[in-house]
Amino acid sequence: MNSFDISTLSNGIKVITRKNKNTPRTAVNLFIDSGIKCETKAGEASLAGRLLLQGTNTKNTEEIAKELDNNAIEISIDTKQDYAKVRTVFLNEDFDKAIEIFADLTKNSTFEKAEKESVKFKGEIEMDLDSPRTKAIDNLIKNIYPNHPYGNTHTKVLNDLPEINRDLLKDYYYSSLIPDAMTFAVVGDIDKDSIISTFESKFANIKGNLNKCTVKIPDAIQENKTILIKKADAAQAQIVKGWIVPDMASEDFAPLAIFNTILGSSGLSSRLFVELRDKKGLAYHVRSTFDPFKHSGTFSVYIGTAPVNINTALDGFNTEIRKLQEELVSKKELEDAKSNYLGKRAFYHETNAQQAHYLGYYDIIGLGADYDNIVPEKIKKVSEKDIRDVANKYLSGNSVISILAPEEFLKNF
Amino acid sequence: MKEELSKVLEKNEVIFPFLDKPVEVYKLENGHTIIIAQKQGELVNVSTWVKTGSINEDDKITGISHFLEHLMFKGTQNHPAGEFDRILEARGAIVNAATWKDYTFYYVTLPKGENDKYFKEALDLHADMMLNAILPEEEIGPVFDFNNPQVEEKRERYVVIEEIRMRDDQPWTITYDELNNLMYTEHPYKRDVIGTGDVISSVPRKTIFDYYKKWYTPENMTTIIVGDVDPAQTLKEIREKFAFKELPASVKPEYSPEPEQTQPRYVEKTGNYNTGFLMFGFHGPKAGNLKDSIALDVLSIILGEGNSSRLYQNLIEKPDKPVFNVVGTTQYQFKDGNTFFVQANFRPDQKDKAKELLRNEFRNIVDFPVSEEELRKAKKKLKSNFAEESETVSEIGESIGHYITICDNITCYAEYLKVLDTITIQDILEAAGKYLDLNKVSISILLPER
Repeated sequence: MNSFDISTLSNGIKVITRKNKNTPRTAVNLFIDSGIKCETKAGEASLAGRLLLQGTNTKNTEEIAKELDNNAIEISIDTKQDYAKVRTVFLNEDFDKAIEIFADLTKNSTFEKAEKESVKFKGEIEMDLDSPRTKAIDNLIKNIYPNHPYGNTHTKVLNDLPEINRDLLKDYYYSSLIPDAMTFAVVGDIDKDSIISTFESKFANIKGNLNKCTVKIPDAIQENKTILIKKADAAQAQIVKGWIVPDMASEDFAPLAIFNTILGSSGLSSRLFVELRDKKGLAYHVRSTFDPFKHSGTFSVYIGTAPVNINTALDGFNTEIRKLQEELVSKKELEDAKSNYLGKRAFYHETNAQQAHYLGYYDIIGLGADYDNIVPEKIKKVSEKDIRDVANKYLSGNSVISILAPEEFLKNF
Repeated sequence: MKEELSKVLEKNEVIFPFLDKPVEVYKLENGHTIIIAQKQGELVNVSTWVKTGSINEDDKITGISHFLEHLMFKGTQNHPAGEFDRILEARGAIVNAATWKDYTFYYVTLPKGENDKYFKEALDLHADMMLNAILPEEEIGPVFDFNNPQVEEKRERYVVIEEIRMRDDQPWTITYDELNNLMYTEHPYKRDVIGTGDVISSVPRKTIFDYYKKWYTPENMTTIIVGDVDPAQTLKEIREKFAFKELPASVKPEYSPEPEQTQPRYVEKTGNYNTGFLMFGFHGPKAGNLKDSIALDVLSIILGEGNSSRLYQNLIEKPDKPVFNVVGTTQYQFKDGNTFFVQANFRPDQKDKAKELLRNEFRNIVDFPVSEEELRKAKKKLKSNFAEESETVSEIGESIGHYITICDNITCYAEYLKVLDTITIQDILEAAGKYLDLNKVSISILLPER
């Protein structure tokens, strides 16, 4: 990968640029240090993000939609636990137009359509919750973080939406749109000087220095919990079990990432895949997931299986985790897992949009854009003992289990 | 004695949108097609597309193409089950496969390694898997009665049955499967690609193996390499590694034509949901009919792709209390005839209104013809889609494989943007009149139980 430059606009906004020659589309990501962690009501972050496409001082919703689509300019807003990301991708020839629209949306949105957007958002959430898997995971996360915004899932949003209004959303969004809380990452076949000069003219007038968002560290899971969701006609049971693990900056990040690769995220050769799918035929979809955030992290295992298999699947999870807690992995399995992780990084850094994501993401969570280059070094240092240690340290404690299945299969829980 | 390599009968160079160098297309004497697309970067994509899928199934073997796809990963004489995945994933590879109506394809995307070391290893393993799969009985698992599944050895048959179960819980999948079933009465496209539990639990290994030998012939296969590779060396290696020992006569199947639909069809199901799911389906042109196919791609963007589309603006953005939560359109391309869909999620107490609002939008194609602005927008979007696809080796490989399989030649992809430039408002109106006739619509609805 090419190197990158970090520049600063006159008001202090950081702009990270990487030039990739001969690529037809440019990606611009604006990361704002806010996201779900700063919500006072569940859904504030997503709704504020959606409203960036719903009207500015000079353009209404339809005019914005037309201007973007007529120029094949993609703009989307992702709100995650620790940030809001306004992302645009466009053909290089449309750079000026794209940045002009991007600046208008991010600086001049009126949030007038808050009520209407809330209705649309509610409808989409209700549709998403018709997926049993989404419902099971929703219940897991909100029970892992019952008293923290990280647990603001779909079902909590449905509860809080009626209390969210335009004033709340405007305050939420504009209080974090301040230079100290903003990082741009731009990757494409455009010269740095041209980018900086355009950005200076469009974004250097953003002022302010008071970020109202204060975040506390989430509590540990107080006791083992099993959450049951009855669904009469479910063909499969959705089973997901989760633990709290450390944040992205922790020294245990790299061991946990490799532990996750070995247990259930390497693809077709992970232990859960081989033992529960290939050998026992329990599932089509079985895996583990490691989600590190800025102030915490989750580790979870998931399976969708015939309801009659619920206990077998839970036993299978426990057996595979116990093996990693009790026995050292072999040198070969460890090295293969590291190669898997590092090789896949290339896959996840292939496009300009992906590269812009990682450069901006590591910067906004306080680790610096260069952290993307440091991760491989940390991965290479992971030892067999590190794997066993993190398995014991984090997966021996309290957990939350969320199971969705027909009622008759949930009687013994 | 060293086996003689199959000769190159034909070489063509095709210019592809947004790729620096022409794509090289080779046809070998044994019928095998090889395509090499050069793209700068660390990653390489290796794939083989086989011209078989549910189109070549009947009721007795429904789902066999997809089941075989699973079993292809279960080893060869050279590499036991699991070794392919282990070796390649230890190089950072993404390894997978997919089955659809017209094709089945297998792919590996990985860093090519120093001196192409990993690429060569991937090509070697991929070719071995494609040519020498042994489909071991113990990996398939014993036959059992699907309605009384008393079986200890739950192997790959069960994995596929769990996949069927998984799909039974997905409301969009149910809505689509019901629509698909409604749209076809004769043509093999009527069958679900995933098949049925009855067949998967009972189909003998021999039937699967015979199917493999029948369809996985050189003439039915296209091997595609995308990445920063030496084309001459790569061609040589593919010819060496894909040394087909048997060259069975290629089967030229004939498919029951689908009788023309003469009236609307409707199916409604209920389940444990909170919202309503709806799909409209129309029969479209064959994928090889590039002009009509592209005219419908253009119309799909205008009608239902993006926030400025007619359906989104008229049915979600403008009404104070929208009936719809989500609405969009898309065209699936198939060798024997595309399908054009509307896909919508709606408030379940507004079913009749939802159907009528959608019908109105189709009537409006005539009453409010496509504008020059809408046409320009759609053309720009389609051009941009090609730019997006050119960003990754996987998507380049997938686009080439998809088009060469459903069109039987590469021109569908290579000529797409040229034909797109010629599409006029009149072409779109004519395509809409020909294919999007409300008298021939099929409608599938999934509603909450009340």
